[in-house]
This record gives sequence, C-alpha cells and structure tokens, in this order.
Amino acid sequence: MLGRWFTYHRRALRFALRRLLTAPLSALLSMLVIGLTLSLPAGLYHLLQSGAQAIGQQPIDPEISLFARVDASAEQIAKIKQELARTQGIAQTRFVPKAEAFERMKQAMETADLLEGIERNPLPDAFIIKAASRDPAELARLRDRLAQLPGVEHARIDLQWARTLASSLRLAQRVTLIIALGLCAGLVLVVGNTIRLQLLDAKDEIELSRLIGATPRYVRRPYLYFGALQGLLGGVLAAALVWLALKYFNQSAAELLNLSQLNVELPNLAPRNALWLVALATLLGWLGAYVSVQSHLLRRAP
Amino acid sequence: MGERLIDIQQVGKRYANGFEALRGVDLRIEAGEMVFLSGHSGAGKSTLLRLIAGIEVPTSGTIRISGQDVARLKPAAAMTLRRSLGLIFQDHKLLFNRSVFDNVTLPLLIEGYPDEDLGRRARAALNKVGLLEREKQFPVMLSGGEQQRLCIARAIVHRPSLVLADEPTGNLDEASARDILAMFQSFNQVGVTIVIATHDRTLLESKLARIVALDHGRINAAAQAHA
Repeated sequence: MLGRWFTYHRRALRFALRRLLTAPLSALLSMLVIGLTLSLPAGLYHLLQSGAQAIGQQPIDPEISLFARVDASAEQIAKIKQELARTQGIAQTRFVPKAEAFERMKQAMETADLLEGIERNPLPDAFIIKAASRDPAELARLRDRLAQLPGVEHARIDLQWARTLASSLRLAQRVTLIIALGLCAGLVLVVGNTIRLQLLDAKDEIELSRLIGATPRYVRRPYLYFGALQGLLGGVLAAALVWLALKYFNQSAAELLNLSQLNVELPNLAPRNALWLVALATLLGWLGAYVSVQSHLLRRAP
Repeated sequence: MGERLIDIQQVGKRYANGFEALRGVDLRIEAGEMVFLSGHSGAGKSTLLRLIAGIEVPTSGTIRISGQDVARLKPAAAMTLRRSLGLIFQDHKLLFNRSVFDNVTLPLLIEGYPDEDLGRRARAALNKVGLLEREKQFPVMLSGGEQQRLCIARAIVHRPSLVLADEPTGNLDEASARDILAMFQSFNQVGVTIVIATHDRTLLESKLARIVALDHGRINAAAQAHA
C-alpha cells in the first residue's frame, strides 16, 4: 500500500519534471513571472519592515524645545528655570543661552558674513527638555503647560518627524501587504492558466483515465507537482532577486536614515525569511494547479 | 455455469432530455459467460454497458456486480470497481500522441503497478493481440483492425475478470471481425466474463455466446438465443 503510494508520487514528480524539461522556455517564463511578481512586494515589505524596526530601536528620547521671549530678562529666565525644576514629568533640562545659540548659528551657516551686519542677537534663550514620559498625549500636555509659563514665547516637541516616519513606514507596510495579496491571487491565476493549457492538451487522456477508474486525486497529482515545482523555482528566483536588490538598496536607504540623525543598519533577507518566501511561492503554485485541475474535472465529469 | 456475476433488475434509464434509453430491463449474467447485447442503433446496448460499468447511474432498478449495488457505491469504491473491469469503447479512445506501449500501460499506471511489472504485463497483452512488434509505433500508424486490437490489449492488460466491449467490430471487415471474436473467445475460455454490445452479424451468427436482444430499451425475449 505504501509502496503504491510512493509509486504514484514518484511518477507524478517525474511527470512534472519531464514537463518542465520538455518546455524549458515556457517553464523559464513562468518562473520569471512568479519570481518578479513576488520579489517586488517581498523586497519592499522587507525593506519597510527593516526600516520600521531600525527606527523603533533608535533611542528617540522625546524632547521639548522651550523658547523664551527675545526680550525676556535674566530674572524671567531664572523664574522659568525654577518653574521647570518644580514641574512634574521632566527628566532633564538643558539651558541654551541666546549667545551660545547665535554662535552655533554662525558656525552652521557658511554665509556667516551676512550675520556680521546684525547688531542685536535675534535668537531667544532656550531650554531643551527631556520628558520622563514617551506618551504622545502626555508630551503634548507638558508642552502646552510649559508654553503657558511667563516669559515663554513658544514650546515645540522635537523628533516628532521620527514618529511620523515610523507611522508612515507601518502604513506603507500595510499597503504593500495588500498589494502583495492581490499579486498572490494573480499568481494563482497565472499558474492556473498554465496548467489549464496543459489540461486542455491532455483532455482526452484525462477523460479516458476517468472512464477506466482514475480517481480525481490521481488526475490532480502530477499537475499539483508541476504547479508546486513552478512555484518553488519562482520562489527561489524571487528570494535571490530580493537578496540582490536589498544588498544594493540597503546601502542607500541606510545613508538616507543616517542623514536623518538615525544610526541604523538595515539587514538583508534572512535565510528563514527566504525559506518562507520560497514556501509561499510553492504553495501558490500548488494552489493554482489545484484550482485549475479541480475546475477542469468539474466541467468534464464523465 | 458459475456464480451470478451481474444481476440487473428492473433497470430504467431516462436522460435529462426525456429520452428513455432503457425500460424495466432484467438480466443475469453468470461468471465466465460470454453475452452479446444486440439490437438496432438506439436500442440501449451502449447505455446498458455504461450502467454496468458505473459510468452512468440508472434512473430506476438496481445493477449488482458480485453482489455490490453499482449505483450505491461511494465514488472511491466506484472507481475501484471500474479499474477492475476491462472496458472497450465504441470510439476506441486511443491516445494518438502516445505510443502503442504507452496506450496499453495506462490502466496499469492508474492501478499503481510497479515499474518492473509494466513492461512485462503490457508486452504480454500486446503479444496476445498480435501487436508486440508495433509497441513503439503510434496508433495513427495502425489499421482499423489493429487499433481495435490495441483497445482490447488495453482492456485486458490488468487481467480483469469482466470485459465490457461496445461495438468492438464496428467498421471492420468480416475477416478482422472474426479475428476479434476469436480473441474474445480465447479470453472467455480462460474464465473471463465478456459482455459485447454489437449489431455485427458476423458475431451474432457465430453462435459462440448468448444473445440478449434489446428493442427500444426493453429486452426482446422472443429474440434471445443461447450459444
């Protein structure tokens, strides 16, 4: 019984391999379609996931920049310092005097000569405040409270952009996932169509086989192997393409993130993820074949 | 005569278009018997063979093969029964893109015979029908009589105990028809039960088998004859 089971499967696999080898161009094209179709969303998803993880791992301490009025007196600045010391929810405070800020601006600007003509320092005294909490709502409340202090002109939460970027990456990941689902459905149809053409070619043999006692499983098996093999090869190609593309893109993406003051390193496709990709492609190939054969058998029931 | 192999009781078959192919057919066929189902075109011969093989289901009545009600079998069991039969179709159903050898091995592949048995059994069957030398050729290269013999080889390759043949000598000349008949006779002599639907006079006048005459879906008792 087990020997017969192996015989059936060995023959089905042999049939699938023979089909692939006797029509190598067709097989190659199918493999390319599967590989390219899967590599695009897979690569993008991996890149986005890596980016989101890298940003998530950054020590992004929420900071609030508190700017005093330009004309604030030394007494008012001292009062603000006292208030800050009393305020709950502040982990650390750093005072940036207006003179220091002006010097930094001069250094930062190549056209420092332009500033030579300015008689008065236009910059205010400022406080860089590290909040104890990372909760966005609490941060916003703290910012609003600090903005009300006498002598304060403006309060701003910094690094908000990093959170926005992380949220954008998560959104992009979801969009990619939805696109990937659509493409996967497309792949099932592509493989199914390839199998459908083979079934039409073999319809007489299938009809005869059914008449003399072949079960639907017997008829399906070789085509399932063929679909799965196509998917497997396409999946291997997709994994290779993703790996190569990520190797190329990761460098640029990391540079971009580093420019944004984030010290990140984006990993390439891990072997485990590559295996998942190949397994998914194999499953899609198998599914395409199953749907195709099943609909053929239902349409042409003896 | 041996035990009852096929037991047909009050079988009727009405198609979706309203055509009544069979009406109240009663027939018993013993194991080891050879039977000719005769009758004009549309008398119900092919329908009766398809019902016996389980390819179609009767609208009324029962068909039992070795005590099993064919219509009530589960799909897997129905396929097992069909694999145990030798079926010869009126339109041959040969695979013209496959060699003679490949055509004959199809039932063995479906049954899951091991590779080492395929060649031996297929060549034995081809030898019985005189086509051993043509195993590598394609059916299109065979004459009408040879194609029919190839169908017979395919039907007997797995050594069935019951062969159902639908017009196996249709379109053949008398000499070829006699050759085919001789083959069936030789199989029958080793115990194979054979049911042949035919309107070929060469076969019917041979008196080698019991004749069951069908007329407009009914058995014509007056026209029955025994070998």
